[in-house]
Amino acid sequence: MLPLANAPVPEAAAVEASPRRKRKLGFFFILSLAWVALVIFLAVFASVLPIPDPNAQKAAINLNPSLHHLLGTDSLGRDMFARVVYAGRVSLTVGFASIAIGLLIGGAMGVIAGFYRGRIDRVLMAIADVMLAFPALVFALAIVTFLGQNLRNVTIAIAVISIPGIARIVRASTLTFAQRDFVLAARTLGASNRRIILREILPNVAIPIGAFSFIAVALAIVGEGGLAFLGLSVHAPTATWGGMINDGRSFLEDHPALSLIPSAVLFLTVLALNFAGDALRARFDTKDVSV
Amino acid sequence: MTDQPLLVVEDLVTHFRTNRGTVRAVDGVSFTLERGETLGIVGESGSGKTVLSRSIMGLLPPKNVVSEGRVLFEGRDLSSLDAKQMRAVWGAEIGMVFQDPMTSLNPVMKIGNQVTEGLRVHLGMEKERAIETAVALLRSVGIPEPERRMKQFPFELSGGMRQRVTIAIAIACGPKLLIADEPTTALDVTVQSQILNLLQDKQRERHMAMILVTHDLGVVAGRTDDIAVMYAGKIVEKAPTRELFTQMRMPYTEALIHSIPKTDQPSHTRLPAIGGRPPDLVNPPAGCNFSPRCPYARDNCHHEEPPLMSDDTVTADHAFACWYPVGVPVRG
Amino acid sequence: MLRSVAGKILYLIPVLFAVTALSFGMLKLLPGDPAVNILGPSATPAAVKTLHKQLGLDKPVVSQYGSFVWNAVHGDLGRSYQNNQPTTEALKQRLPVTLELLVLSQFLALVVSIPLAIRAATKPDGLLDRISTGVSFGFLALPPYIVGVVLVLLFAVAFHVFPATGYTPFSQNPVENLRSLTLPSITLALAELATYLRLLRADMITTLQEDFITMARAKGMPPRRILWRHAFRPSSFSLVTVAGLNFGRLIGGTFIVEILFALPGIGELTVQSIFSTDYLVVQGTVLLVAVGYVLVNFLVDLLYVVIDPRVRHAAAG
Repeated sequence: MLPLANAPVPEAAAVEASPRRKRKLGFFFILSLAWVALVIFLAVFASVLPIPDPNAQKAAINLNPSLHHLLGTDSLGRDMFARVVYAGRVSLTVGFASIAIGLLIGGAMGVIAGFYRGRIDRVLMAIADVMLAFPALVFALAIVTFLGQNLRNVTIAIAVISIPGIARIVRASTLTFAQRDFVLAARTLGASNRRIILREILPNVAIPIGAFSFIAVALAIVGEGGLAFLGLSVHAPTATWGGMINDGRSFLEDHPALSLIPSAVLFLTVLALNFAGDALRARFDTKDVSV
Repeated sequence: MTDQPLLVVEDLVTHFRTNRGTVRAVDGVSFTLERGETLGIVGESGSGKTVLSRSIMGLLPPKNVVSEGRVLFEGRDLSSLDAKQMRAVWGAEIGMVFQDPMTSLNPVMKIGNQVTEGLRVHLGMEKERAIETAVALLRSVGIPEPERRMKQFPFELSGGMRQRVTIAIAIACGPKLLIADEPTTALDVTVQSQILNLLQDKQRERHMAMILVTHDLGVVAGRTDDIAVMYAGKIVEKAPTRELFTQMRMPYTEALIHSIPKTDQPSHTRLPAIGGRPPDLVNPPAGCNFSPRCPYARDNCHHEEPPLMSDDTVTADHAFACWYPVGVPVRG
Repeated sequence: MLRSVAGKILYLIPVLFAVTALSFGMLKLLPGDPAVNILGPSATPAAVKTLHKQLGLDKPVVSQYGSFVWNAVHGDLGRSYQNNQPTTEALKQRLPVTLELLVLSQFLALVVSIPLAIRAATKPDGLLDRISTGVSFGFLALPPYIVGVVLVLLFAVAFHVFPATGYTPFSQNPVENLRSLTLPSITLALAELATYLRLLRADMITTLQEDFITMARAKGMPPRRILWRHAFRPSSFSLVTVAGLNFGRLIGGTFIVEILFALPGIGELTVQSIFSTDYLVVQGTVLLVAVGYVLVNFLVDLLYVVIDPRVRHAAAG
C-alpha cells in the first residue's frame, strides 16, 4: 500500500521486455486506455448525464441490477452505478491531482539534484530520505486526522507521500541523460544551465517519467482507496470506492455485490493504468534498443 | 587400455540461427587426439575456436543451434549421451579452464567450496577428505598458504592466483582430457608463462591429454605436440608443432607466424599484419575462405574450396587446405 | 567496515530527529487547542487547564519536544483519554499480534515467490513464466482491502474454512491462532509476492547468463545445485533488501488488514483512537511505528554489508 517510495526504478525492469513484445503497443494497451477514458468521462460528466443522485435513498434496498438501476442499489437504497461513478470522481481527482503535485515538486527536486550533483544533490536526497523514513500510510493518516478529512487534505497527503519516490526516479533518469553527448554539445554551444535543463533534459526525462506516472496515479488511487476503506478519506455520505467496499462488508453473505462491484471497478482501473504505464515504459525504454 | 584415440572429432559442425542468418561458426572440423598428447588450436578471434571447444564439451545453449558430426570420447559418442550422463563426463572425464578467472569463479562462494564441490559430487568424498584433497590441490598449483585461501573469496586473490584455482578445479577429479580456452589471455604477461608452465606440468604429471585454444602462436610454440590452425570455422592446416613452424604450407599460417613480434628485430620495425578482415560467417566467401586476403591467391582459389589434404612434400601427419601451398616450388 | 557502520549511525541521528519531530508536531496541526480536541465533549475549562499542565502545553515548544522524547525513551507515551490506559501498555498487548501478522505474511510471500521465481527463470517466456508474470501483475493491482474481502467471501462466508474475524492468542490455542491469521497473512502476502517474484526472476535471469554458471555446468554440477547454490545467492541480494524494507511498507497494509479481520493489533488501536479523538494514543503509536520503521531500515542496511562479501570487502578496504 502506498509503495511509491519503493516503486521500481525504470532501469531495473528493463530485463522484463522481451525483444518481440517491445515494438507494438498492442490491443490490451488500447483497451486499458479505453477503460480509463470511460471512467474519466463518466466522472467528469456525471452531473450532466442521466445518472441518479448517488446519495438519494429513494429506491428499495439491495436491488439487483435492472434497467432502472444498472448496478442495483445498496443497503440504503442508493443507486450503485451512480455511487460508483461519483466515487470515481474522488479517486480520480485525488489520483491525478496528487501525482501532478508530486511531479511538480518531486520532479523539480529530482532534475535539480540529478543535473547539478554535488552538494545540492546530497541535500535534496537527504530530504527525500527523511521523507521516505516515515511510513507512508501512517503519514497520510496523520495528515488527514490532524488537518481534517476533506478532498484537499487527502490530495495533499498523498502528494506529499509521492514526492520522495518521484524525486528519486526523476533524479535517476536525469542522471542518465545529463551525461549524454547532446548535453555536452549544447554546453559547448554556450547554452546556459537553465536552457539545457528546459530544452534538453526535460523533454527526454518526460518520456520515461510519463510512462511511470501512469503507474504512480494507480498507486495514488490505491492509496486513497485504503484511506477510504478505513473511513479516513472524504466524509460520508460522499461515495468513495474504498468506503463502498468497507460498507459492503457487513452484507457479504447475502449481497456480496455491494463490496464486489466497487472492488471490480477499482481493480480494473488500477490494472488498466498499470498496464498502460508498463507498456509505455517497455515501448520507450531506450536501454536495450538494438540499432 | 584400449589403443583407440582418446578423442575423435568427426566433421563437427555448429551453426547458430540468428536474425541475420545462420552463423557457421564451426564448419566441418575433424581431428584426433591421443592420451597424453597436447593439441594447440590457433586462430584469430571469430575463427570459431572457442565455439569449437564448447562444441566438443557439448556446452552450447539449447536454442537455435544446429549441431552435426560426432565427438567420440574413449569411443563413446558424446552427442548420444543424455544430460545426466554428460554431467558425469564433465568435470570427471573432461575438465575445462576458462579464459577469464575474474568472471568464471563464483564471486560469492568461497574458494574452498568451489574446489571441493567437484570432489564431493563426482568422487563422493566426505567433507574432511575433500577439504584435505582441495588444500593439496591448491598447493600443487602453486598457491601459497592454501588453507587460508580456502576460506577466501575470489576477489581477494590476484588474477594469476585465480587462474591457478580454476586449473585446480579443472583437474580436481582427474580428468583424462583438459580443454584450456585462452587460459592466459586475461592475465598479465608476466604471469602468462607461469600459468602455461603449470598447465604443462600438471598435464605431464597426470598423463592428461590437453587442448590449448589460443590466438597467440607464441603460446603454443614449444608446448604442444600438434597444432591445428583454424580459419572461418574450418581447420586450414594441422601439423606436428615443429613441422608447422618450419614447413608451413598454408599462406594463412605463414602470415600468422610472420606476424609474431620478435624481440631481436631493430626497434620501430613495422609489425607485419594480415590485411583485410575476418570473413562474415553468415555469408562466407565462395571458394577458399582465406582467398580475399591471401597474397598468393589465384583465380580458382576464389571458386573452389581446397580440401584438407596431405601430399608427398610433408609428413603423413601434416595436412593443409591450399591449392598453391607456400614453401614448395609451384608446379607448372 | 567499522567506519561505514559509524557513518550509517551518524546518518541515523538526524533521521530519527526528523521523524520524532514530525510525530511530535502532528498534534500541533490540529486547529485550535489540542487539549480541547483531545478531551472532546468533556472539555470543561477546568479539565482543559489540568490537561494543559499535564502535557506541559504552556511551556515553549522546544522543551515540549524535549519532554516528549524524554518520556518516550522512558516508556511513557501518554495515556488514553477513553480508558486511561497508558499507551505503552496498550501497545505491549497489541504489538505481538501485528508482528506475528507481519512475519507470517513475509514468510508466505517468500516461500511461494522464491521457488516460483527460480523455476520461471530457468525457462524465460515459458508457460510457467508467462502465467506467473501475468498473475503477479494482476496481484499488483489488488490492494489488501480488496483481496481481504474476496478471501473472506470465499473462505469464510461461502466455505466456512477460516474465521472471518477475530483473533486467538498463540498461548491460548496455537491452532486457532494460526487459523485466525491465515486469511489476513495471505491477504498481505499476495501483493508482496508479486513484487518479490518479479525482482528475483529478473535477477536470476541475469545471473544465469554469467560465466561462472557456465563454469559450474562444465564442472558437471547437477542443475538443482547450480540453481540454488550458485545462482540463487548472488541473485538474492536485491530481494533481501526489498523484503527488509518492506516491513515498513507492510505496516500500512497491516492497518487495513487488522481492521478488516478485527485483529487486536497496533493498526486497529490507531484507527480506533482516531475516531474516538484519542489523539495522544494516535501520537504514541505513530511515534512507535515511525521509529521502528527507521530502525528496521537501518538494520537492513547493515545486514546488506554482512551478507554480500563483496560489499563487506569494499567497506573494510
